[in-house]
Amino acid sequence: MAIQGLAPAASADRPRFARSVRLLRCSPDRGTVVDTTAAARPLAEDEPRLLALRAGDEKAFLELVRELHPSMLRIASLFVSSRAVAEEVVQEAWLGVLKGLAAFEGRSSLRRWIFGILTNCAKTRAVREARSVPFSELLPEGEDEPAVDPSRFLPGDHPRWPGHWSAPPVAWAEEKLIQRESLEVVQRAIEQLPRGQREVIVLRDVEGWGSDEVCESLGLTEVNQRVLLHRARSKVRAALEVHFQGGGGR
Amino acid sequence: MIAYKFLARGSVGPFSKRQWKAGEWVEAARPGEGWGIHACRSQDLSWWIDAELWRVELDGAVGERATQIEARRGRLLDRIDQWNDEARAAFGLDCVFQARDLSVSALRTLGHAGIAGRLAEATTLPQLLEIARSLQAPSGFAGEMFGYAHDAAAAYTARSNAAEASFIASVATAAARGDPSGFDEERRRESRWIAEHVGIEPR
Amino acid sequence: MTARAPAQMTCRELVRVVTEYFEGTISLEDRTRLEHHLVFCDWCVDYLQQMRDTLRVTGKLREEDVPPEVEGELLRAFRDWKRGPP
Repeated sequence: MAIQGLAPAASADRPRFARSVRLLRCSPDRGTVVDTTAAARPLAEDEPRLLALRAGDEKAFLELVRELHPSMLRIASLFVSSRAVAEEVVQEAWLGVLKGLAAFEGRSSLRRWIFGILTNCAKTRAVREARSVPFSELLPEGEDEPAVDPSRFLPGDHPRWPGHWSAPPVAWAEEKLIQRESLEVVQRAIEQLPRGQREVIVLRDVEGWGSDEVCESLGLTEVNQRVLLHRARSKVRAALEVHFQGGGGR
Repeated sequence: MIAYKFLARGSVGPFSKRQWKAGEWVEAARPGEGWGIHACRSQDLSWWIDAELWRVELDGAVGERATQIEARRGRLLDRIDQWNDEARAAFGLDCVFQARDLSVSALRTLGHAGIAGRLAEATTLPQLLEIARSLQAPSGFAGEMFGYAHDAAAAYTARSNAAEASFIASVATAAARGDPSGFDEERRRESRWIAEHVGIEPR
Repeated sequence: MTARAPAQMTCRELVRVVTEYFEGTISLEDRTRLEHHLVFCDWCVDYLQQMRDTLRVTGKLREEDVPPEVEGELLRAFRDWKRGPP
């Protein structure tokens, strides 16, 4: 996923989904995310693949697995307690996909349908583990730390430049950004985020889901999703800043 | 409609990062107000300065806002060569000394003739910075007005950022007038400076 | 006491609205104020670039490989499904 310059990401042509937190049994028929605006035929881009899968084409199936499995694992891990449980959840989801494949009408994209099954499996499992997150925990807490330490700005009573940088940021070198270590810093920073922030940043910025999809899946309003995303991104930026410059940080 | 547009070095849109090419029509990226092709009238120039200044043609209905105009389609016509690094540097210096002059005027009014006189002696940037550094800032509002001259000289010496000097002069003008409208008043003055300097008819 | 035009965005405010700006949900008025600010404030330009850099690195966090034993299990499940109900 790439942010093109400063132009805002074009709002994807994603159908609007009803927002609700639905903890359904992990089964394709109740787990399908329904798009009432799309046609009843499978999406054009999914047709060849669907045909191949339904015909038992193993190569097509393995391609699908290779494409989606890593993301499914990462997303399942957001909801359940351990990697091992996440792996089980993903296995269950694939079985659910196979069960529902013949009857899949294509009212959403194949990918979105599969992720819908996955998130339902994950949430179901989380409930069984008594680890379901109270809805309120996903919402941004009232007061979170500001994106940048307030001491890095001139105070409100500065006579000429209140609110301007007093300890400004320093541009990062491209060579350092592309190093393996930067990935690790970001990974660690994401792992340390509060749950709601972690879920949003993983789905939006790692998995590349659109804002609508994330809101629907996590049961968030646009505003709440944006606040969580803002806090998460700010913390990850701060972690990279500490890594590149040492000390200071947020 | 003919108007003006600043672009970053390499004819790149400063916010859209779009690569512009002279003569090629460009369409708005998305519908809705605010997402069209932006350009300056001559009074808007100082708000948007950047490396390159171009004459542009806008097509269709043109929306006018406080500091810019917008259309659904536009193209670069020709580059205004008189706006170059030297012109930009001269503009920056003009803004620094505008801040200095405001400061001098305010300090005299507030009874700090000595400090005012010292600041007024400077004829170059290094002189201004040296003099400002050597003086003890007065307290209160006089200190604030002194600060703008000092800040302008220090900032422009450190970063050679003409837009920053423009901002400082504009804030200083609002402070001197005791009214936010002073900010816009200084911006318009600066836009006239730019227009005259590069041979654009001021509106 | 200053009479600075209250319309001017500060660096502190910019840092707060940066996500709205990237998302495109910021009001036109605030977006214009933000752009005005970026014209002269190189530090905020750097901050925005850091946010973009952060997004770029985050977007690369993808483990790409499926362990062979996992592929094997899923392939077995696919073959079972192919055979159909007994």
